[in-house]
Amino acid sequence: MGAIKEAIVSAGERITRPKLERTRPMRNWSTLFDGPAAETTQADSKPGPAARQAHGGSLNDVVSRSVDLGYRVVDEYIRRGQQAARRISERSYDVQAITGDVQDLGVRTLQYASDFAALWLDLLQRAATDSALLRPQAAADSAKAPAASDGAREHSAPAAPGPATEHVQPVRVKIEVAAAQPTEVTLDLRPDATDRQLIVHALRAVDPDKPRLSDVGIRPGADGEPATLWVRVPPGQPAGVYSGVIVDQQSSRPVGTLSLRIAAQS
Amino acid sequence: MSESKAIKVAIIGGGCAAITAAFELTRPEHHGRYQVTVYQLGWRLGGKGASGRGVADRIEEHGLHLWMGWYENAFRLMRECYAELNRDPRTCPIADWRDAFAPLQLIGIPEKSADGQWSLWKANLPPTEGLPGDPFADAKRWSVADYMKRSFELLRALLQTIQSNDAAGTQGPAAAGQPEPNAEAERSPPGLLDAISRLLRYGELASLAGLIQAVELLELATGSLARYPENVILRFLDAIAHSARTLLEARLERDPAVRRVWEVIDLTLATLRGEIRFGILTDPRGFDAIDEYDCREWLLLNGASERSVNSGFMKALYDLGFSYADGDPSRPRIAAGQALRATVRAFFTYRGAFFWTMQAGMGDVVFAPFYEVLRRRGVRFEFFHRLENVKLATRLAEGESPYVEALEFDVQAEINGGGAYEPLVEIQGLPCWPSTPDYRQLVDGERCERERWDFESHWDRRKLRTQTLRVTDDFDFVVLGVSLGAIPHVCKEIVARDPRWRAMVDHVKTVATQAFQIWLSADMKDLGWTDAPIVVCGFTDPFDTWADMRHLLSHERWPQQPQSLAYFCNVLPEPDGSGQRADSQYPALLHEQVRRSAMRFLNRDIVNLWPQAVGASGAFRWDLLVDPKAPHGPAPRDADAQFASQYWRANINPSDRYALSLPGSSAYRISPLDATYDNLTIAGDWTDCGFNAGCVEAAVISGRLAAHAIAQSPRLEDIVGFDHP
Repeated sequence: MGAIKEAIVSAGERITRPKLERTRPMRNWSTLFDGPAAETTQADSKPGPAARQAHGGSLNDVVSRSVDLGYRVVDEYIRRGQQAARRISERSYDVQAITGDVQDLGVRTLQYASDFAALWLDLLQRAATDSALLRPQAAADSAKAPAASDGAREHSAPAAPGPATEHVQPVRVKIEVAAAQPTEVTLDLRPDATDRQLIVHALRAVDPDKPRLSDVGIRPGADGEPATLWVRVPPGQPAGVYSGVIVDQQSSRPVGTLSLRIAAQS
Repeated sequence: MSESKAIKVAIIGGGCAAITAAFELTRPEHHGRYQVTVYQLGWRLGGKGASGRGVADRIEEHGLHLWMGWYENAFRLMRECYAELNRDPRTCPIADWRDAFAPLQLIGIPEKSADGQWSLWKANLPPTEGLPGDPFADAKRWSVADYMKRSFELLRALLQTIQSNDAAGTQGPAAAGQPEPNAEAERSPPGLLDAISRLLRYGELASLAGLIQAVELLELATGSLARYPENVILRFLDAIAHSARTLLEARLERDPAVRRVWEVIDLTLATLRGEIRFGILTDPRGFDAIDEYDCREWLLLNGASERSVNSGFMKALYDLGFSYADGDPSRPRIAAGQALRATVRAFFTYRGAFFWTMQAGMGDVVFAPFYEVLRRRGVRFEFFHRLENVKLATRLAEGESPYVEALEFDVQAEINGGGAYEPLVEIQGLPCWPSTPDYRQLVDGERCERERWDFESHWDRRKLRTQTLRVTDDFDFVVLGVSLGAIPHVCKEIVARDPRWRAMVDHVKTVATQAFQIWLSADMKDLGWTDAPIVVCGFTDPFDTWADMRHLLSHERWPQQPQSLAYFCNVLPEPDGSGQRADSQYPALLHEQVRRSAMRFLNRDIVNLWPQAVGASGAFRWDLLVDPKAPHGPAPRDADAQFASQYWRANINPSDRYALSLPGSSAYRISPLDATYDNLTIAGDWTDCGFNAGCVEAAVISGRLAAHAIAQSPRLEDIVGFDHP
């Protein structure tokens, strides 16, 4: 049964409940990472031969660099999961430490996912719709990859797919941010979405105690003007990463995501 | 341990949670460490699950109670109870748990077409290996990735169902000149990405075979989902959903079988997409992460169609949990995370059968055996004790936590001779609870009977005296196992002083329910129902659930034997205004409302399930109803008089109200493990017990947690499903 912290006191005094080792269920992560037995080493998670191609300007190079970046995210993810799983298998049920680890992991993972979302969408869309694009590309394509590793800033949504010889029109979105704190916006939007009525759902943080950001929206542009995304961050909003889904109002289908990284007020 | 004095535990309430806590604390391995007393209002245990035997020994329930094949904790305890009870099968018809519970495979989901015609989707959910409550070979853990894998398997099976009925289907990628997929190569991330882009590139998703192969690839991927960038999987899911919709849309109108399968496919795809998009795979909160959303709302957000979220299948899911805010059928609401958790447990982890029906009343099959075992173990039962107030200590020593200083009861009745009340009666060899107390055991019982004291009614406050129990003298610990509806009434001090309790009663809502039972002289075939016994969910208001309970008739003793028995139930919309609810006539008012609703339902709607149950005029054949007090057959009577012989009830007592899982409400629940009050724990399906929905299993889990809070036993790891996404 394990050590029981008994709280029985001598007769005449009041008995109190024992202090419990754990008071919350373990949800996802303890079963996803099954302790030390499920460890994957750095060597296991390195990208395979397909990704280790000569660097150049081809789409394959972009793929390989993105896969590389992606695996670095996954490596970090697995490493932190292993840390957490090790704690569990050592029966170290310090809820505060474990919660801190997992929340930290959640915040970072969300940020990495936001950073890479646009790049992956672009890649897969090209692969899905145009086989010619899998042939070696001009150097211009490789210019997009470094932007992702800098951490995404405002940028245009990925270009619509088409034959390699066509000139690809970038999609433009105006972004209006009203915030007293430094705020970084990452927008990931399907290229054909900007001329629709879009709804942005309230942005939420991983930490459920942080208030949502609901003063956010997209209005379509008129007369050839680009669509405008507006965000108002209330003063005193806790620092963190807030994310939400962008939905086509007519079809109710998701067409993108929006994430904000808000720094602490200095 | 400094003294061998037993620790006194007062357990308030006699429902599943309270009885579970008593069962756990009095296990032989505790060696009598805990002296348990159960305080129960009225004459019978069971709470919302209480049943009684009325005229003709007919079983009279609060409503329809079905156990599900994933109720691992509930079945485990039930099986242990029967094993310990060790009844003699020669003298008792329900001696073993397998006599008490029988598998039910046939479930009906009705759907109404645009032109008002009803059709019934009859699903025969296949039996699975094992039995609920069987021990697991090793510690059972479920993960979101596991469920996603199962979802892909289900998706593939559903697509194959359509393919096998589709004469024009292609046979696979070979038809398009593509090589067979190499499963080994495709398990590696680059291999999978290649296979995905290949399928997309060559338009393979334009065929069912391609879709099936696509889903197979995703099944391979879920084994190590963390190694694939989420958006790759998402985009692939989107492509599958789009292609499947395009392929099947044309057939949805003309082929109801394809439409129903498509609706499940659509909902499954939306769920999978949402699980990835909302990061549930990695969120430490598991499915709780989406509890702010209503389930339908969340599915729509993730691409499900309006048609699918309003399908009979979805309605049945909502109905199963009475998931209607304020009992209003036009306001279906359930927290998406809890709904998802319930769905994956129900469909992917059931053992034996999806549903298990009880072979007598729930009181007879569940609470009587527990009562007998607990009595043998030395548990004391104080019936006719209605809790009025949980009194907190007003002066605390430095560093002392708040605690319960006293429990104040109304004593509703005294027992002749001062002994214990003997609550059970034997019917055909089976110990049962009667529908009314045994007045002969009560002091001044004749007067109580003559004056119709309703010991279970919130509105009947009559009592003989009050009784106050004091900490240390009379109890050391309290397990508060009353229903949530009773908390504002019995925990006024705690609710006033503790903002978390105030928030809990404000946000965790309950709903009243209604039910009726009818006994008929014709068998189901003669009524027009030719299938096996069934449970139908998602029918029409005001009674959307019907269960064929003919198997119970052999346990009743009728002068004129009925041939069929039907139970109906649903939420009960209540009038607005707490003023009306405070009126002493409120129970009578709602009782009459249920009666009228039931009769209207039988006249207007039952024909869609039992076509022969109506006469030439289209009205229900009231002469079919069997009156237990008319042994020589029915005399010609009007409908009201005929129906008056049947059984119905409005479950409006605070202790009978059903706890809901409204969006955003889970955050306000309090756990039995919460230690704010150092001699108090709570137990019930309204607590934060890991499975936050109204059901027997949640109540049992909560009761086990309450026992753990006091005794650190059972171990949390042994409470199946507590650690669960």
